[in-house]
Amino acid sequence: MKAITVFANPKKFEALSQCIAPIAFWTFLVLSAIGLFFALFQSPADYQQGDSVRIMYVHVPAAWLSQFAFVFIAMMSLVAYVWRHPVADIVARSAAMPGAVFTALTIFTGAVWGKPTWGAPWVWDPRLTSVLILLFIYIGYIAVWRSIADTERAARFARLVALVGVINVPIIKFSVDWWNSLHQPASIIRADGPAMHASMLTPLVLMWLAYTAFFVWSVLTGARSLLLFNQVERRSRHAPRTAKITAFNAEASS
Amino acid sequence: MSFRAFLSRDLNRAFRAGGGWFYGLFFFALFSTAAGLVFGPAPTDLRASAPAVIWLGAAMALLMGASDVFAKDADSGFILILFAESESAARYLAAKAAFVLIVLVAPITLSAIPIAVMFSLPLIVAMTVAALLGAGLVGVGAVALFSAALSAGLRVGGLLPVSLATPIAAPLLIFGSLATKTIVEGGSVFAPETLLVLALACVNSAILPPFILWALRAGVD
Repeated sequence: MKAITVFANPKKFEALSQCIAPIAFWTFLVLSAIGLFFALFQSPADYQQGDSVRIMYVHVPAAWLSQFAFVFIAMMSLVAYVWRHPVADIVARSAAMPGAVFTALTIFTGAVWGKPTWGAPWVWDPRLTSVLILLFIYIGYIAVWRSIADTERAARFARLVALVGVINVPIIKFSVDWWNSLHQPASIIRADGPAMHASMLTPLVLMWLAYTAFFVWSVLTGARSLLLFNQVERRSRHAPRTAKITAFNAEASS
Repeated sequence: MSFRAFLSRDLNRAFRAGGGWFYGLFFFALFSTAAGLVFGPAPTDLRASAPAVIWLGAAMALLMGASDVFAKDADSGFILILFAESESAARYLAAKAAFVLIVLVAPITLSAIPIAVMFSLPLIVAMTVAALLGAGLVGVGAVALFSAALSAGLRVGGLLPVSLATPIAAPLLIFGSLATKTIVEGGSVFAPETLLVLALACVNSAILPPFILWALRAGVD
């Protein structure tokens, strides 16, 4: 609750993001280098799928982040709606593009993996279809921000789209249980622990941390740019009036 | 204004000359006919394509037919006045939902019977399919109202509001066509897919109304 109040001040948010963003960026570079090394050279090939299983280290973290990003957007939208938080909308908006990119990456790497495993890059499987729907919701969310010139009005509708669209996230998660799916069920986040050997789990977790660091960097950088853009826009809107007042004062004093 | 007053005003508007109440129905009939032509006369092909054609056509007809449900009230400033009296807003939305059920859902559901027969389904199966479609369309109707509210609020019209709302209707379409396929293939009427269609229709009808009011309010704030 206190954090919500503290970060309502754009200056404080900006100062914090200036400090955290470079750390997140370097964390991403280091962890992805280590993670890729483990994924390509240290982890074993799958006994059935062979080396094609290594796509998992790019595909699975992207899928997790694509859903996490949308839940994050919905949470920020709720904070903006309930507390009229000035930074929450900006943070939600800046999370949309990386979220959409992660979703597109999930679909693309899934297609690359699907070709040798299922024999087709795309099947109308519930998991695949619900992730494609998530991409459409991301595109719709971004389109709302871009199609309305008035930022406050755009924010009101974007919050609405985020809070309704988040219904799709549990559908994605449970699609493999509710439908007859080609996609494998959950093998990491399970009640009885991960069903994966440590040699494969280690690079997967490293890549997930790297992706998360990238997401943090991307959101903070995007939010800072938006805050600066808003400041410049506000100043340019008031600049002619201020110039006129200064000129008037100068004339009056002379 | 009372629920009855809101509803009779909208029904009068829709059924007078040029009211366009039948456009949704007309689109559904046209879409199904075009699909029938594309799939050809072979009864096996028609029967196999019937679930998808009926559900997709009906959902599109409903989403597009209801897209301007709030438009006239938003343009005239009626919604702005409505939100000044918070009690009327719920009655207004209930009347709009009843309006969509009477003018769009009911005719589309009834017309699904002859369309299903045209797709080589026996009459009893066609009636069962139509009953299931009617139940599912209640949920799609809630999505259509949400899309219409976005359209009125965003004031952009066209494809954006429909594109924003369609993903929410996707699970209903998927389970609806699956349940219809089960019925067409002689399976149980109360298969898990059918129960899921009913559950999703209830969930949509319960969850979406506050969001519809929110979208309308966001448009006038």
